[in-house]
Amino acid sequence: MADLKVNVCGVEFENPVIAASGTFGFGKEFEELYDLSVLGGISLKGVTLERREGNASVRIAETPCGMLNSVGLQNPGIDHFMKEDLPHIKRYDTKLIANINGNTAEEYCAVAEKLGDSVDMIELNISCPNVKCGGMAFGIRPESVLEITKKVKPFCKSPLVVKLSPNVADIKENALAAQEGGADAIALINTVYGMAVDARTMRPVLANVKGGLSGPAVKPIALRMVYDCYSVVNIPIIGMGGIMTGEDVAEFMLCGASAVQVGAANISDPFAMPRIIRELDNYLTEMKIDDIKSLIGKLRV
Amino acid sequence: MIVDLIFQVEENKLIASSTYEMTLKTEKLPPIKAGQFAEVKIPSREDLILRRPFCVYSVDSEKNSIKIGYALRGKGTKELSALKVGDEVQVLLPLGNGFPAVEKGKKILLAGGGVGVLPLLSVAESYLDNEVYCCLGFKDKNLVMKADEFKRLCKKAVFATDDGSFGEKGFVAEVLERHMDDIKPDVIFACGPEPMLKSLKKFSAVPTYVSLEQRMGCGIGACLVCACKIKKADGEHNLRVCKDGPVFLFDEVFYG
Ligand SMILES: Cc1cc2nc3c(=O)[nH]c(=O)nc-3n(C[C@H](O)[C@H](O)[C@H](O)COP(=O)(O)OP(=O)(O)OC[C@H]3O[C@@H](n4cnc5c(N)ncnc54)[C@H](O)[C@@H]3O)c2cc1C
Ligand SMILES: Cc1cc2nc3c(=O)[nH]c(=O)nc-3n(C[C@H](O)[C@H](O)[C@H](O)COP(=O)(O)O)c2cc1C
Ligand code: FES
Repeated sequence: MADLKVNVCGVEFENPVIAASGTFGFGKEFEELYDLSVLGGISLKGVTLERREGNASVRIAETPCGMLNSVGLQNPGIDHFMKEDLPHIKRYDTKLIANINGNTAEEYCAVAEKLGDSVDMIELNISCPNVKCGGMAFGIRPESVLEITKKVKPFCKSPLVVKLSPNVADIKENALAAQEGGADAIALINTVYGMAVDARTMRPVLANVKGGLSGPAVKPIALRMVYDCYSVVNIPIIGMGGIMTGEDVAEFMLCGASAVQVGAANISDPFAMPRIIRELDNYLTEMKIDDIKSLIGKLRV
Repeated sequence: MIVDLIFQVEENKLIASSTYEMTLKTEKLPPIKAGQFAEVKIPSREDLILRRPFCVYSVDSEKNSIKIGYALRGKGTKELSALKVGDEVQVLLPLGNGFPAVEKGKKILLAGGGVGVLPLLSVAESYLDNEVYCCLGFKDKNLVMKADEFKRLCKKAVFATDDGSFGEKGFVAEVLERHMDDIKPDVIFACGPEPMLKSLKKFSAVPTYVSLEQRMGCGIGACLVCACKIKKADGEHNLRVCKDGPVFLFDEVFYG
């Protein structure tokens, strides 16, 4: 068995495979399926200061090799999260990342402050396409990425990961802005803004009309963006977008990711993550690689 | 316990116009309750990344086999209809809560429409000691399914078709109105298209439970894409059809 351990800005992960926010809830639903301690980590469902009910249904549409969602950050609010959800998931030996969201910079700060040092990392979601205020609005222009990162950073007692949107002019600019603002790492990509139409009913499939695309359909975009960011930043990168197999993980790491997140795969196959970890281990054995860290950024171009 | 199992197709046959019944066999089946469902991965179509939810309406725990029924709708069901005996499918089950338990002695009325009658068949099979009645609606006689089974299992089985080509003419609620005084049910279980479910309003003084459909992702309650607005004492909440349902109290779904 190869050494699967990775280190992302000081946080030691048993393996680089982390559940992506929004596809794994607060972990509770998966605990009856398998032992969550096999996971490198879990990025928990996005939380906000107040409870949110999210968008109207239909919230999901299947597209070729992908899916659109428009959940809209439905969550019970930070207080409920701290009191009920986080203590429950803490019993597992895996790294926990809180995914934080807000309508205003002040709300992001308040959520980060309430978290204190209760999680291993804080992931700043400034890239959700499914909410009216905040969300992606903070993540599009590099200036606002810089500003919000700077504002939230002092409230974080755990390493801060800024999660970038792919719906931007130049991802490198945004990555650099996050780094300049004090991010300890960046995560990318969030979903690609898109829509699905039903020609028969002549209506959009999603009640919210537009939504976020994820799954294998976005993988080429995600790989390119990780590759681009790796060439400019000196903080670690958590890569994601369409990872379905162990070899997909290796592809992201070759492009420069220190760890990865798995989203849509959990939705099409709730047992995906233990399988992906096994496949990754097999890949390393077949390739005669004994330390996974030696993959990071080693794409032969 | 939710498991993801490989099943072999034992039979895949038409049971009504554009509607198939598939019998699937595996090595060891987990316990499954009436009204629970399964998510089927569409084989050899890596491009279809979402599984399709279908109710498991018949369980043979000795033979480790189940039956699902599906109306042809789009890409996934078309692909399923082409499966041959011996082909393999991957199925996640059992999902959802199913219908609530009913005490002995209580009279159960099943109200269903279209393929929505299928989960009700498993209720009828589970309550052989209760008086079970059904009123089932279809567009026309070509879409009628499982009529003999319902007749065998129910004290009285009433059928309704929009054009009167099978059973009585009219919608389920209209036809049911004529029989309600004879049945006097203690509880109603319903499944079918939303307008049909809504039309049961006039009977909802009797505790009525409806099994809902919603577009789904994970099927296990984690992704929150299958939300349905449910009214509880403390206000409206978006609950998950897959995990909190798919069966809900009528009054909590169709209010206002
Ligand atoms: C809990 C539950 C139980 C169900 N039980 C049955 C059953 O026993 N028999 C049966 O015929 N149908 C049932 N359905 C509906 C069935 O899931 C859809 O008809 C089926 O998914 C259509 O797939 P498709 O690929 O042919 O259609 P497409 O239109 O190609 O599907 C595209 C996407 O939309 C989803 N979708 C389309 N229509 C529906 C729908 N009505 N409900 C949910 N998702 C939909 C598909 O799953 C897929 O993700 C049930 C739905 C739910 C939620
Ligand atoms: C149903 C769903 C809900 C999501 N919710 C969140 C969220 O709350 N916060 C967040 O930062 N990203 C959220 N995402 C985005 C994912 O974390 C991930 O960035 C994206 O889906 C790309 O990865 P994938 O292709 O592996 O799914 C969500 C994605 C999906 C599919
Ligand atoms: S389908 Fe994922 S929560 Fe219901």
